[in-house]
Amino acid sequence: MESILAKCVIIGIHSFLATSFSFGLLSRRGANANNLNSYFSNRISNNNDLVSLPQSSGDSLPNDYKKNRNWNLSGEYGINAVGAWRISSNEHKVRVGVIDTGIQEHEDIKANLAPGWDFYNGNATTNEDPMAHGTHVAGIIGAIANNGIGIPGICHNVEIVPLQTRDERGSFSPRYTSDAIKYATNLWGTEQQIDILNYSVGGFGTINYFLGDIMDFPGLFVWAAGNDAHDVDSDINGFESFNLPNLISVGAIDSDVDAYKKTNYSSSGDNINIYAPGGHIYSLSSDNGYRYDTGTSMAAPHVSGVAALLLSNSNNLEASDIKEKILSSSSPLDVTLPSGKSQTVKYLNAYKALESLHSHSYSDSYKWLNEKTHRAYCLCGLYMDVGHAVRKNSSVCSICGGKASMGFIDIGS
Amino acid sequence: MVNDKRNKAKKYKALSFLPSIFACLFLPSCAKLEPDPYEYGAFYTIENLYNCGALNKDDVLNICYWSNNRAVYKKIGNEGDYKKIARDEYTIRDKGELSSEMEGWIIHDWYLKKARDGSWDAESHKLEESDVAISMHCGNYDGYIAILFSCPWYLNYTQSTYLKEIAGYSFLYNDDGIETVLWKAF
Repeated sequence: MESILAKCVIIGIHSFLATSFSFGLLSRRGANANNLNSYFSNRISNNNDLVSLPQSSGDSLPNDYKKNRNWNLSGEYGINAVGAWRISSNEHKVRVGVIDTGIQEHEDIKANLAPGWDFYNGNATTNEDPMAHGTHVAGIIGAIANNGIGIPGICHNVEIVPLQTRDERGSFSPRYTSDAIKYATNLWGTEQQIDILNYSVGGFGTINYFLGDIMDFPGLFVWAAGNDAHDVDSDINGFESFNLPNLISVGAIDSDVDAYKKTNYSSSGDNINIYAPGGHIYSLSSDNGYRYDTGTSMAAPHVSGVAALLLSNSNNLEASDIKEKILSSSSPLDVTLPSGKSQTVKYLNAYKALESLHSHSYSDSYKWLNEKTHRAYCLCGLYMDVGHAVRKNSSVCSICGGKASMGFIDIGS
Repeated sequence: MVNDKRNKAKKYKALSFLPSIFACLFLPSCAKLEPDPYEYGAFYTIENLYNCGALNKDDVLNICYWSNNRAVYKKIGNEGDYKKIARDEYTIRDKGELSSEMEGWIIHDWYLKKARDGSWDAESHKLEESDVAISMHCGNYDGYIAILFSCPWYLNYTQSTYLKEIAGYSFLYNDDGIETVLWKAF
């Protein structure tokens, strides 16, 4: 009986911690954690059966996440967005501009939409998206999470700004794309600042018309590699400046069971910075519906979503910092490119990207909670898992990698 | 009596031509792609040649394989998803060669077609024959050559895809709307 009561109390404290983090009540987690030291010390001495605490809580798994449909977000070839959500504070609101066909006011994203602009027609009507392409792209980045319907977007504290540039035939003149980038540049430093631009159009390097505009934009520009299954290096040779510090080019990886690690359409080459899921991506469609879509158009918003996730946790990052963190935290993936060539490429990893915000030395940042089981509490985000929080001698939490800012509860010696 | 028989025979003879006449009238023709004519040959759609019997199902399978960059897909459900058919479930024939001379003719004819139908953004670029490029030679089929052209660099489209089903096989096409066509020399 006493044991059950103890568990209940601990679960209650766990819930309190989760809630407190959610509402930002604990400004310095280490300091507040110290207040719990005596309680946990007592529990250790009285009860070693702490492993039955819940494994995750709070924002870790949105109720609109469906494992069978969202292969792109978790699992062996997903980007581990689920892991990232577990350690994300979602503290800052991030604004992402989607240069595309417009965005429908789909019920699963409407609350996350900000006013935008139609650069082709010169007005503010951006919700007519007959192709529903921009709608699909926007959903990957910022569909409303935890609303019980559809899908969760990758970033859970985001505002999507529709920047519509298509003509009536559905094609895109570079002129209007240029205007859209300049528009975002002009908003920089204002309350309407657009932090990231997603461009799932054209194919990376196909046009240098707006290269100067990208260079002038202080935020991050994420560009789909293109679906022509060709080597982009031949397109952009001679344009050394395509390696801009604020530009990420994104290739696509498919999800077919017999064709994992292979894409039949994605453009490739050394100038593609990173790859992300692009095949069979389930997201928003017309008339409040949902559909699967395929292409590098779908891969780019995965990177934009992770970039937004980084900014929502640390809003002082420069575009070049975000690029560096996304690329350096990527997972190596051996792929067969459309040309038949095998190559090890960088594959997007949301969890590792977020984890990279908090690298530090852990030598003294924790104490063992239980010497017998080698288990300890780690306050990585809202996640508390006594079962596999800390491996002895590694000094690194196997869930979050450890965080200086969040640290571990110091339970005393 | 003999005359009656002769008259009947004449009547039957005349009637016997009717099915052939009807067949000529109602059989679908292998219509060329507009605008026409071109200089060296004419373009046709896969559906058209399949419907008029110039291509059979196996031909479509082979074209699909090359058009999808060595993959054959099957549509699943109504939400736009599809599945790759396992490679050991079908066989692909040798697709034959495309000579550089023939390639030049096809590119020239496609240039003429595009120059006439104006399906490019003339505001940003004047079409040149050098803008036309073949993305994939999808095989030779009894004189018809299957070709997938690439989207010219100066045209910008969204980078997602759509499925088009022909004879039970799904072609995965880019949003630029360029679909595999067949060309036959005059």
